[in-house]
Amino acid sequence: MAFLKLEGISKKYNDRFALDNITLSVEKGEILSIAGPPGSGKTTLLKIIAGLVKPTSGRVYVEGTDITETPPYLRGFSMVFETPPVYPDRTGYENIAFPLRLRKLPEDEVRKRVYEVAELLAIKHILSRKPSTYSGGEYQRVALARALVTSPKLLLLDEPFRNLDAKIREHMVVWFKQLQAKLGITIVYATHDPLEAFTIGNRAAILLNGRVKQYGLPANILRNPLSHDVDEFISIPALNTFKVRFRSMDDEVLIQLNSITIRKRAKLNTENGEGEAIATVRPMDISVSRSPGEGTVAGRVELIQYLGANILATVRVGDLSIRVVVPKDAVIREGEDIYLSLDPARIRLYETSSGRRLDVVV
Amino acid sequence: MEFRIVTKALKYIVIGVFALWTLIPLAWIVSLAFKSYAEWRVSYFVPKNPTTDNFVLLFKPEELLGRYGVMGATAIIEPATKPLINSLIVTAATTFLAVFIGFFTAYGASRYRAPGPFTLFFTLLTRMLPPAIFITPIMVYYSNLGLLDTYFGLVFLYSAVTVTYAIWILKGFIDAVPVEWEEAAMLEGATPIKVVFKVVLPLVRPGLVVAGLFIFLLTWSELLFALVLTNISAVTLPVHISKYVGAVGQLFGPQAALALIGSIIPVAIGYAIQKHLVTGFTFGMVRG
Repeated sequence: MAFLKLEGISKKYNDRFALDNITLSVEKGEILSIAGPPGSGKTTLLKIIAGLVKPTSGRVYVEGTDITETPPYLRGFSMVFETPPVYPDRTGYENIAFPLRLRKLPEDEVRKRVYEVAELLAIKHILSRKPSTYSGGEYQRVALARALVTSPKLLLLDEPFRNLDAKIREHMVVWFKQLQAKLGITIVYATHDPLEAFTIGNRAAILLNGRVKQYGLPANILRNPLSHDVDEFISIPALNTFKVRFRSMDDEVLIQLNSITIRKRAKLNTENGEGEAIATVRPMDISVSRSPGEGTVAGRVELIQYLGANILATVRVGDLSIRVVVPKDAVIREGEDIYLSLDPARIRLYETSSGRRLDVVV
Repeated sequence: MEFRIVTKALKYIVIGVFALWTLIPLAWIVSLAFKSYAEWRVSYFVPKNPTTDNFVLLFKPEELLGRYGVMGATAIIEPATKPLINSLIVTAATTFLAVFIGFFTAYGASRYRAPGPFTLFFTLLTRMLPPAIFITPIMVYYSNLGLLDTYFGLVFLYSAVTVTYAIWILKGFIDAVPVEWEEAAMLEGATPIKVVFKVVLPLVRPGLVVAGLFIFLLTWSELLFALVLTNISAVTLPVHISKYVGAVGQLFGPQAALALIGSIIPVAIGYAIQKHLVTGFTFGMVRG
């Protein structure tokens, strides 16, 4: 039996669905990440699980028991918010001890547990200090310590590392994943960053406009997005999206992108033998060379952007602008002529009207 | 460079003029309090024969007549002790009540939305009319309810009037407390009531102190209503000061002496709590 189960959760604010029929489950000891852009309903969903917001319809179950009507203070969960609950008027010790004091534990038990969790999170040195003296990482760890000190049944994290700068965040994400492995605690983790979601979660749900658009193992979602909006959301840097015409024949699809024709081995998940569709290719799935080869397309480099490990080049091909990722050590200049080649297997086709995935790999 | 000197000089001149403007009356009170009868109406600051008579007379009103003759024939029969205690009781009770009610009202206004057109703005209505126009109806009500010349009558009126300030001051402080901080506590096992007392209340303590001090000062110096609504048993300090009028004129010496005593108390309180006004209030300090 799933540890946490959401069944048909919807939340309406003034006739607008913030969440629309969400069904998800989380196994004990697992991390479920929920990835979605700001405003997609992640926080509302977490608050419904926590009991802070009542769903318009749908039920929440923990180990088979319906807890939809249980008030938050009786659920035994913890939550770390984007604005972490670290009260500026008291020391780190008092902040971490706060939930234990609510439970009226004896003072030596409180002390023991605070020190245990502080040791675990490596924040013993800030226990006697007030939050105004903390670094961003310490601040986040105190919030986490507070959430963990009660040994919650379920930990809800809402963009807990959002306010950290990129380098510290990267470090915290890895550290956090190791910590979870050690504690075996069940976690629902919300983030706007799909890569962070895939790194942290055992499973991930992509939440777009209040709907779960795809749910499963991170690698599957990454490799095989089921709709255009999911593909767009999880692709970093942003996708190349083209309008194409297609014609399907047996095990093959002919894709016509302006004057370029591409043959792809796939079956189509549609009744139409031909028509218009959306085709997407990730910038890193296109390779670049200086000399023409078989099946290459000539283009001129229009713009270069530095991504860190790589270079993102915008290449003009006829009246198309195609974005490609080029290794950093490939010296490439704006205005230069280059040749692009593309593995047809990396092209994905979506229905124009619904954004539904059309091609089925054979 | 020269421009900077000029602006700096201007700044000091403005501050200096303002300081004189506010401090001269205070200095005059100090000077008057220690002057003897003969010097009350002279224009120099430092008394020639400084005396503490004015203070002694405050607490021995029966000697007024003997000392000043007709001049000392006042309505004062009680020593100033009672009005001092009255003022302390009324002001303390008002401050507590207004801040207490104001806090919960502000909390509600900050966290919930009232149905219909009722907004917090309505609480300002009582502040928009001159208080004098309320006096007559309140007199009538109080007379019928038997609230004239009682502590309760004064405290009730004062807290009803000053609670507006408490609400508006505290709402700003409560708005600055992220709702998530309350929600986290709620998940950690706190009932909504506990959240208010254990999370919000301690966090807005500086706001409570500010609102409390402000209301204390307002109430402590209120004259108009107290003058009308009290007579003997609930007379407050400002009213008592106004009673030092002899048959021929104002008794400036005892008035100044009592005003001085009356000023020391709020100054002492303000000094004692000043550290609470600034400490412990640093929100939104998440750093990367």
